[in-house]
Amino acid sequence: MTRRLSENVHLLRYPHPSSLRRTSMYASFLRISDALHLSIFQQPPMNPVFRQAPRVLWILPALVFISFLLPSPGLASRIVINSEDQYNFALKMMEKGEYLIAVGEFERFIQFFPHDRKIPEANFLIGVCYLKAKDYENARNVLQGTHSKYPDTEVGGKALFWIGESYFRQRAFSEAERYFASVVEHYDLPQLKNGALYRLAWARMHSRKWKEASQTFKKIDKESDLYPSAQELAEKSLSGEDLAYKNPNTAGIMAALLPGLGHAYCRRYRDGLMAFVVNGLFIWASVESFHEGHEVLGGMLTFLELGWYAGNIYSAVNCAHKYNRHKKNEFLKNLPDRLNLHLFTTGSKSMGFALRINF
Amino acid sequence: MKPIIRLFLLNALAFCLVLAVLSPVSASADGLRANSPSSSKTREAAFNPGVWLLKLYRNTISSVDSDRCPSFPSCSQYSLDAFRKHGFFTGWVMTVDRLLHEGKEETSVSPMVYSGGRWKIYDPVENNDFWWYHPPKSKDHD
Repeated sequence: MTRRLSENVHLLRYPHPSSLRRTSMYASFLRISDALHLSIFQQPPMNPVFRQAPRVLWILPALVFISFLLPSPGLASRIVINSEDQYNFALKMMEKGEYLIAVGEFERFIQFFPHDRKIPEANFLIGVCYLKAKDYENARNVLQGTHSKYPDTEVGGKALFWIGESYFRQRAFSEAERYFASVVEHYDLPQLKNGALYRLAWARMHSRKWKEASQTFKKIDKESDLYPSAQELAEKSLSGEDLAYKNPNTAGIMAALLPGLGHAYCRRYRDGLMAFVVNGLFIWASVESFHEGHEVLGGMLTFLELGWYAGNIYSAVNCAHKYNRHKKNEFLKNLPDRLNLHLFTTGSKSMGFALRINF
Repeated sequence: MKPIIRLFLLNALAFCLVLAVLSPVSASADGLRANSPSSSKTREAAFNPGVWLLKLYRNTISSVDSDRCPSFPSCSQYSLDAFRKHGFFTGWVMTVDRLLHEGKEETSVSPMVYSGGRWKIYDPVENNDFWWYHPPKSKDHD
């Protein structure tokens, strides 16, 4: 018995029905294989309804699993954001320098909490965010809207101040002056007024109105943190009058009298030489053309020379203006600007901007 | 030269001069409309001989010539900007100004920028018209 089993051990792995039928182990093997797997030799007869059951059993858990993956308000935990959280998140984005995201968050705050007491501040901060993102046109639109909506409030004053600041940053100093002067005139809040006076004086210095700037600095209150700096600047700004400027009119007249002379007046000798040579060549060529009887060629050269001549005058005047601007900027660079604008993001009852003194 | 040809050429010259004189008017009119959305399209649509000449230069000569301009934007781009912003006559005068002042002496009054693998003088149109050109004010802020 043992020998026969060892000889036919492969039949246990790969049994052949015909051979198994001939062995006495067949019945016992069938019992074992039935226990292990029903379908080795033949499928047992199944009820059609029962045949569908396993498929159904797989589909149901799959559906349950998918339902977990889908966003389901019924199953997800509900998040409630109050107005304070939303506002603080927007401020956080602003502090991180993500200004356009902050704009979106402030707008979300306005959309979902339209009756909150911080709505004016949120409107104002949207404008400031645009300004910090250097989108000046949008900034001014928003700030102007805020100012129009809340004209007699602190936020309205701040909005007007920041419109001026936007022009100041774009170096449109005459426009900036107009807005800062308006803040000084219409708002009596000490911090806001002193800040506007300080910026107004700076705008006047950029416009080379040195005496006016000095007088404006002197108007800053003694109680203000800016007072010491303002006193210093009131004196120093007067030195701007003594800077060695070049007169653009003189440069233009000199260039008209002799091409290149205006450049030399502005200490640009190479450019002056170039202007002299080019204009001289064109004038000489034009005269020679007319002298030789080539009127058309002479006319064309004269036409081109007119361009060079006009360009020479323009260039001399331009050089004088650029020289003066450079001198002024070098002078202003050495003056201390103690005004730094920082929005408070803590929700305290502040002015909305801080004045920081740098020593 | 035959008198008829001479007359034709003189007429062509006169036409060019008239165009040159009239162009600042159209430029200032464009300036007044600068805030309207269609203003840039209007400027593009209007025929500007300076822009046409510049495009001809850039497509033929400049494309096979190397970039040797020490300024940024390049002189041709600057000229194109000036023609578009101020019209033919002023654009022409400003182009001449640029060609005269693009040398080393400009570095004393203008900043430098790194472009195209080397340092260049930053000298856009705004650097040369700041003392007379002011963008039109928006009505919303008055």
